[in-house]
Amino acid sequence: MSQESEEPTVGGVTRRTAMKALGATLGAAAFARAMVPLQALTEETSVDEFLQKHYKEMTPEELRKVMDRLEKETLERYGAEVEIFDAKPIPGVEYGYALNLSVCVGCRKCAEACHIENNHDRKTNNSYIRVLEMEQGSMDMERGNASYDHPVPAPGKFYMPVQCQQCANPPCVDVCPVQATWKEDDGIVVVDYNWCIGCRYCEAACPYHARRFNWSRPEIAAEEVNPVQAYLSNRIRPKGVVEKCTFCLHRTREGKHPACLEACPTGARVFGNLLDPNSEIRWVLENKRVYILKEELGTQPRFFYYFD
Amino acid sequence: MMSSKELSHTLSYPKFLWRSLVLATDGSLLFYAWMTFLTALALVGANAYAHQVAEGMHLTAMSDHVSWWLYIANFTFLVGLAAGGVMMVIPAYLYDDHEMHDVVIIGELLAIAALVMCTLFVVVDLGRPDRFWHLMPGVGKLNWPVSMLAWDVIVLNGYLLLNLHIVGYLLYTRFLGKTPNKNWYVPFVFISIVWAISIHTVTAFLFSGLGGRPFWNTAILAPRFLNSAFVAGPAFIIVTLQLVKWATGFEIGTGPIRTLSQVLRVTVLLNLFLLGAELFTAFYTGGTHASAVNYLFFGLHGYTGLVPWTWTAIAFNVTGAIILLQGRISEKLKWLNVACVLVFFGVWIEKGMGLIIPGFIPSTLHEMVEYVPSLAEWKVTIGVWALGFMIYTVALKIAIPVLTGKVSVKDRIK
Amino acid sequence: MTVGRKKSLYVVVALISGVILAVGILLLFGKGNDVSPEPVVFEPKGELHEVVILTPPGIGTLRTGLEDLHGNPIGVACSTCHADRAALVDTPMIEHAADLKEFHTELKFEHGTLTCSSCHHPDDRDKLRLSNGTEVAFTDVMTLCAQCHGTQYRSYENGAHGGMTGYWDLSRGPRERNNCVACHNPHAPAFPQLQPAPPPRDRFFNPTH
Repeated sequence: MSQESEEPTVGGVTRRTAMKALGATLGAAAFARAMVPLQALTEETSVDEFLQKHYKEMTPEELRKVMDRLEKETLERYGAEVEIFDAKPIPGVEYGYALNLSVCVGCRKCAEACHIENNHDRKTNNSYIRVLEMEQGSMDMERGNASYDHPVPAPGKFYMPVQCQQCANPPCVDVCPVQATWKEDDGIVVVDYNWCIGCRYCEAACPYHARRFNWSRPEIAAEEVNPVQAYLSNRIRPKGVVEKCTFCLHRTREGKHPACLEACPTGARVFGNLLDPNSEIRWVLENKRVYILKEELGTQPRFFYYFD
Repeated sequence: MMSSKELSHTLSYPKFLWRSLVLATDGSLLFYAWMTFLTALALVGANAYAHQVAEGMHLTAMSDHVSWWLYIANFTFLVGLAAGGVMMVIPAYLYDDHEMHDVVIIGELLAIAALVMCTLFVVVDLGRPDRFWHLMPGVGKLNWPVSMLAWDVIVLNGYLLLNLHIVGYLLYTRFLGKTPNKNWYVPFVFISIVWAISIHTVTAFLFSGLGGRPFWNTAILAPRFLNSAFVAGPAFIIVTLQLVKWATGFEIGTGPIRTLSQVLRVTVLLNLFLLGAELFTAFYTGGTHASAVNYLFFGLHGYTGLVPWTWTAIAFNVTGAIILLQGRISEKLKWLNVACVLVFFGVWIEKGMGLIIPGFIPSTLHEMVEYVPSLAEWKVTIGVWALGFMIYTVALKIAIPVLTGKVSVKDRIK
Repeated sequence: MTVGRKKSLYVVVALISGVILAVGILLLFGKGNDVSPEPVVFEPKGELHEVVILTPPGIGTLRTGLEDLHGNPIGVACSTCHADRAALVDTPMIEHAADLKEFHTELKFEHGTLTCSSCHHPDDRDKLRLSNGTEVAFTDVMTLCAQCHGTQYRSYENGAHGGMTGYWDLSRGPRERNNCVACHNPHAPAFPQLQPAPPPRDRFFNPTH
């Protein structure tokens, strides 16, 4: 192999070398052709977005610049004028949420309200809330059904909406390789959508099917966009990142109820500050027979179910 | 230290690289045909991946219910192959099996190619590959030591560097015609033995640490992973050694294949035992925690997508085990090769479909959503495998002539 | 020690050291979440905003279906007929909805074994009465419901029944609650069946079995 064979040459270049050069050129051209679809990306990304820092490492001024850029992008891509702000936690608050299973009728108005409030993708009717129709007499979710489409409540069934439990010991936070998701001081587990790399390890780790991945770019008509948006919650998410219920922190951190609670026609939902001894949620925890889902996993959810 | 006839490293190392490049691009018609074929596959995969990046991962068949599959299944299998490829290091260095020394490099080169494929499979699985830099410690925000994926990033890259160093050093010294200095590679070899076990243990912990997925949340997962790695690795290398001998005339002797087939015999049987242990625990207890195993073997609620695959994998593994039980199997190469191919694919199915999917079916809310990979996913997967084979072929194409002394620093470059 | 045994020893030592190192690092850093370790104390705010109970307009009247200029429903007071018409005043009160043959025939009744005078005041139809005879205005109907449905009323008082809109933190904004009869028809209080919002259309989610 070390010696060149006696081949005829043209200008010092053997036929073998010429073929190799031709092959390499063809290969490079084919590769360039193969990469053509990536051209579509240049319209969507920018240097600022690529170099953007983690939420926790940005100064308020840097964050404001990022949010201004996001507002501009939303206008360009969706035709909707929005206002994105940074909702900070209220000190002395830890959120708790309770759901009365005796009263829930399975109307899915909570899921619908979530869909509208959080600017979800319209095509998939995405929502952070999934309502399971369960058999009376059994807590086995394998006998549950989320796709029911008949008048409710059906006889012999009860209804259990499941959403992010905002666990005190969240497995999703532990597994994220880039610390794109973390638990804030008021108990809400949030995601920095501009830091997430989309590996979906948190989606695998969550025991409650609480996380959603953006398999494609969310599609929403401009007039349906909820313009009151927070950086960490309901701004329109980019494709390729994971998102989750944030207890509507853009509302609750202003003292308002989450959208799902306001939509519930039977009043099955109770929300409030676990640290306030006079709150409604504390009264429920102290007076009702409360339980949590998958308690044996040690996730310590802040979402409680009870029967009346 | 250097004689007047020897070149300094600043001159001989570039010569080594140049000779390697020449070796990598020069060969018989078969070599060119093979590389062109692989390049075509890799380009198809690259194009499919470009579409995936531009349009979003909806081009795959994954969903919020089954959020990992073909890419991560191959990643898991390849981490095992990388670990198992170093299997030969143990007899060569721990037990002073000198016949193994020469062929150890083939295993280490397999590890390098497999690790590159692993990294690529992770990258193609990311929703935002442009944010890859977030994973770099210091520059990004790597969640170490809590996230097992962060551990995996570190151990896999460390293992790649280890192998690159060992192989690079041994090939370079052989190129120079000198005896390698033991201090420069033996400690690293011992570290790589331990490290090989750790890469696959960390990958197993990735899955077994998730309490919300009872199918994975079992102590037996790490032993099963390691054991199947030591099935796939030796099986692949036994076949590769014969192919290398056929293609290049590289003499390897009967020792390595005998050692490897002895190892394979044990690990294939152990694989079946561990599977049996899992089946007993699931089916004897019953209940909802056995739903995933039920789905795998018998189907659940009318969903039977994985049943034919599972039984095929079992048939492959059992047949392979029976073949390997024959006496003096290392001399009956035809039987040995059949067994190797059977158990290699058996483990691929078992690890990919038998391990990843049932973690997602049924989902955490006990819903059933099945999954069949999309064409785009297959294209990307085959593209990555093709690239890995290309790397391995090129690596062997460089390494064998250097090892046999056909290429050395003393050659004149025309 | 032979060379082989020495090597095995190296490997064992390396393995054990590696494991101890890894476990030590993990324990040192610990599996953390970002909740602060110090107990957080809640400080009650000062002034609270009001809680408005939304009572249906025109409660306690017979709705005509017409609306006045402000959009409020026009209702006829019960005493229009029941106080002045001698025929009605002299006749004993009908106790069961099934016996309503001439007027109020559209009334659907499904409230256990209650009779009309369980709630309606027999002498003054513009009022309701509790079981001990105490008169209750129609706008205070919740007191009447509470006397039997104490559990639900207790939950309601503590914000766990009937829903609400507005603010969970009353120091930042007001809240609107429902009257019992805003959701429950007092003659047939059970919640009717309703068609739910559409089911999820997740990728590949096609439950057929």
